[in-house]
Amino acid sequence: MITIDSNQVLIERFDRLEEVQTSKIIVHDQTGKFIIEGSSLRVKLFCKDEILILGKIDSVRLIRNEANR
Amino acid sequence: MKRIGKSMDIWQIKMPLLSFYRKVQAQNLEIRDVQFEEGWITFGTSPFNKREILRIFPKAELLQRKGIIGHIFIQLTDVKKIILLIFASGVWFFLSQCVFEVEYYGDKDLLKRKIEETLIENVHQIPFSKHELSIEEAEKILKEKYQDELSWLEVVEVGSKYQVYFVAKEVVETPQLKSDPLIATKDGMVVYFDVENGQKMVNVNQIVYKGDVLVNNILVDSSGNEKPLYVKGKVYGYTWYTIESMINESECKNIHDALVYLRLLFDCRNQISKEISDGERIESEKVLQFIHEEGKIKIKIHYTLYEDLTRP
Repeated sequence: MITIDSNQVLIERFDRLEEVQTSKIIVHDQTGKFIIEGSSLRVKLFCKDEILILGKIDSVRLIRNEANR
Repeated sequence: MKRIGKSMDIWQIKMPLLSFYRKVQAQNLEIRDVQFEEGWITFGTSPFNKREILRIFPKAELLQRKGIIGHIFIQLTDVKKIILLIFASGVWFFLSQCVFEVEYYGDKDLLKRKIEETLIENVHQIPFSKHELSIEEAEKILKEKYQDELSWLEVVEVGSKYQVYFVAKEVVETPQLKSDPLIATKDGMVVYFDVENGQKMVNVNQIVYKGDVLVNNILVDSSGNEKPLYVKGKVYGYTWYTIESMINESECKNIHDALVYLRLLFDCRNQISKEISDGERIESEKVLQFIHEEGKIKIKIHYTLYEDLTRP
């Protein structure tokens, strides 16, 4: 589940992080992968199944897994 | 999600960022404010996770502790401070078990003193331990001992103080009216009537003698019929006494006459004071004589008293 606000994104029940940069963060969950792009991105909170990302968010894209298409 | 409070440990470690996240996720840790700069990862965790962080990331370095809990943890790392804290707690606990002062709030000073004495009898001295005498015990003892004199009592504990609040029992005496007439028990001159019931038989400024009826218990009406009356009151008047005192000259050879005079004067006053009770007074005192006679020093004083002429 993903919650998007003007300057933050909360992803619950995620599986793993694929990439973490200040301009791009890629998070995988059962649906597929979320690509969060923007600037000054940083991880505010991180635990087993939740991640809260803060920063200037330009786009959030979901790329579904093959199985979910 | 568990949220980390304001208290937070700030850690630093050098390792690949993704490996770090994987480990954190695998170990079910909660971290916040993650920063990555030149290979160094800085992150925050709860102060309670210190051991876990060191177990998972042995190379991690604790940079800072923030918040009250962090501050307490810092203080508790010093053995001396722990010992002092335990000692201070012990002293505080010991002192908090003692009573250093007892205050009394009540409407009768005499009863207040009695209550104070009783409490001190039970604790021997102040300060005392609360276990030696609790407020419940104090209340029980005082209520039992002064059940006839107390209308209400409460003992309150305020810090290291006991406060005793009480209200004394009010006893209302119902006056018993008598019908005996007021008769003069001594010679004198009437000055003032303090009479509630009865028929006045004499007037102010009148000389009366022992045995005279001053206030009668019978009222004669216009038809000549006698009606019985209750009699209650006092009749004040002037009475006269001559008091003498003497001392052997041999007893006061080296004492000046003025001092002998004073000594005899006080002796006379002591004698006359036995004639006086509440509401009465010495109206005047006149020294009639102060002489050396037959080896003795004598004084003779005339007193005018203002007293109840009916007092036995």
